[in-house]
Amino acid sequence: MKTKNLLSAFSSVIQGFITLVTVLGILHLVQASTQGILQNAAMLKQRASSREKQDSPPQELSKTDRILRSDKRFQADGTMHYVYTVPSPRNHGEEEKLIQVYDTNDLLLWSGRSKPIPYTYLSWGTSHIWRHYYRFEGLNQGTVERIHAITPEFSQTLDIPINKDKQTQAIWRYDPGRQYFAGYTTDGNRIGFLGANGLVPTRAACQPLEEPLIGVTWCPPGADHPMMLWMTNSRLFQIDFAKQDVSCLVESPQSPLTNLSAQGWLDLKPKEALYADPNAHPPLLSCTNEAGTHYFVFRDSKQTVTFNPPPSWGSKVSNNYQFSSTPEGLFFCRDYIDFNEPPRHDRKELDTWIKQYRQQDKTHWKELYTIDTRGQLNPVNRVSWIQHKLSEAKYQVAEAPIYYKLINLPSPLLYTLIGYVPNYRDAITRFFNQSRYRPTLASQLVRTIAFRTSRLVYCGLLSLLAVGLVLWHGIPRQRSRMLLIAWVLITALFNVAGLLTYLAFNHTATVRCVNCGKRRGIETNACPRCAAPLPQPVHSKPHIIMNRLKTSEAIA
Amino acid sequence: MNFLALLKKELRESMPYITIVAALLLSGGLLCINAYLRHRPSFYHSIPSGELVAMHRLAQHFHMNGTGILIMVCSLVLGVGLGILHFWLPQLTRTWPFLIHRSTSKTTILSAKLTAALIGIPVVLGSVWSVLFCHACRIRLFAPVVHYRILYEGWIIIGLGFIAYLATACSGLDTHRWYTTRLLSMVLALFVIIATFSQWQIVSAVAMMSLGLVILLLQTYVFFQVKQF
Repeated sequence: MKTKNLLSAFSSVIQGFITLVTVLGILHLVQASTQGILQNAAMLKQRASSREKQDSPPQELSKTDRILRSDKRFQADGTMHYVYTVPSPRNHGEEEKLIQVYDTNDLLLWSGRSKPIPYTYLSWGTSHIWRHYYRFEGLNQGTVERIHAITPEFSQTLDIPINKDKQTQAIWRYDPGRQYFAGYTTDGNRIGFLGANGLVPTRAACQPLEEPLIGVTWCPPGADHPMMLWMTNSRLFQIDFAKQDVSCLVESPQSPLTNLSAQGWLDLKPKEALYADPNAHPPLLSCTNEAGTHYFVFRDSKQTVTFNPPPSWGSKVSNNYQFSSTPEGLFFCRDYIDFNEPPRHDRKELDTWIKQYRQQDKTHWKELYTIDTRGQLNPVNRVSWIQHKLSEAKYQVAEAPIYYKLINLPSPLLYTLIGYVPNYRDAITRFFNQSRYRPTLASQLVRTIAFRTSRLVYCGLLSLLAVGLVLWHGIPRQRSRMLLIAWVLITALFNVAGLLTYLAFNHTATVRCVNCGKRRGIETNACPRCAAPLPQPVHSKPHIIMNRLKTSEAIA
Repeated sequence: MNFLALLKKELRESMPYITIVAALLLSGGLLCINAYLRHRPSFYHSIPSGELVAMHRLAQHFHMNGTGILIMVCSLVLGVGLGILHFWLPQLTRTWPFLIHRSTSKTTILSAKLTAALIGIPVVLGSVWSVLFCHACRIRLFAPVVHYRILYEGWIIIGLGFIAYLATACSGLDTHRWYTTRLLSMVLALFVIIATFSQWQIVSAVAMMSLGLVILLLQTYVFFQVKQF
């Protein structure tokens, strides 16, 4: 009997939990769709106003504004030019746009409508290779999981074909569990295994490649089989499937690798997006780790240069790095605003920082360096310009409108309270960085908790209101005090969702108590206020039959 | 003895439906596999030269798509159908008292119903799926090497049919109104199906399914014991 009661209680808890989750899901669905509709409406409105602006003739900009909107470009000798494209009214072709080239003293050097500018500038390596892939096309653990996901149409496999004369000779199939490639000929014979230690004949001898963080697959011109760059947390591999070779290009055991960039490394056709002329740009690959160390790998000289930026560099706002591989050497460009980064942990300090940032004019710097083979930095040129503070009205436009706050108002109080856990922001940032390409159920859940929060005051008031309703509804119907307290707690933590779940389980009809005259639920035997039992039906004589009997007796 | 008699009774009632669905799965599956064979292209994956290769170009399907969808539809339809037959129909026709008020426990009655469903969904449909898989292997559909993971995935999809059966049973036994908590077991089954299909590892998919199975089994048992027939 005890086991039965235990099972029954467990079953009720599970049922309550599922109801709560369902109600929360419906609530967030409503919130997301409302937000989507409002955002789209705002976007359409903004687009209409920008169209009106585009139709009006372009206004003459001040020198500072023009510099701000110009493209800042360096030449190989370190000279910098401001390249400004004059905005033209709508429906004018790209070729008709007027381009003006100014030097740093604001002297107009060249102006024209033709696209090739008569100056040769440094072109930068493609930072963040993965950005050039669509979300579902780039190589990362998320893509691997999506390919191998169980679907009603069954999972797929990641097969790298080795072709010759329009015939597939062999395939290399990726095993996501063991993290290596297994090779088979088309007859079904096994070639071997490609792992971190190269080609090995047995599964046991194969070392895993580890989960791919960022990767690129490309097919060199004229070839009929792909090559792969496979970046994991600690290593960067290049896999040549035709030669059955795995080479480790970069190893960073201390700090995890975060970014992969390239210039001329991928042999592509000239019209491809990531193409770089190999004569103008000796093939170069760059990897960055979390500690900020840059690894530059030169393909021709098979040399790796390690460069550690000074620690003070990372503390500035909008700090960005670019590199350019040229026959003259390796150029390195740093772009930043001379303003310290915002504090991460303290909300009050962050508010003060935002206030200061908005109220001040800021100096924007662009610095050009060369990096020698020992990883030493040599300054070439640096240029600065002023970025004036924006008016308060412009900042207010950029801020989220008030209705966004109203949408998140019915979100559970629990979400807001989680935000007060120490180091919560760091943990969330780390989690999002790790699950960048892995939209799992857990990451969706964390995302919802992180972004669907409301202010503590509003949330708390709504919780109080919901708790009041639960008490008003629950006291006359209560079966046990502990159960009512549990429902009050659930409602306090989950606001609207908690209240609806409570009602789904506890709404019963009420009757007036014959003893105290107040309303009471019909599912309890004793009145919760005066403990009087439910009224029993009064036993009376079955008078109809008896009366009939009496009548018949009388007749007889 | 009572259990065997009840099981025979349940099987006698359920077997026509189980046989129809199994025959549909077998014939439909064979049609799907053989239809692919007739239009089978040469075993050649072309890769664009001098370009970045998108991952979807390297993802390989095993041309069992139609069979997979058929398995899912068959198992879910059979699961829901048996659930209605075992738990909704006696309520609608008011025949529960004829079954319950016998010299046997409620647990035995429930066990007989669950065993009949187990025989119908995982055993019969699973066997049909295994036959289809063996046929696909024999005709070298998985060239160059047999991919056994597909077999396990088929079994998992069939397992989801049993989840649908338990969810239908739960909502049939629940005494609440449909707009409060009666359809919750259906919602849970939907969650389990979505969660299972969002896994990429067989182990995690099985774990997800097992969790749903335990919860629904427990709910069914409790509801059956508590319900006033």
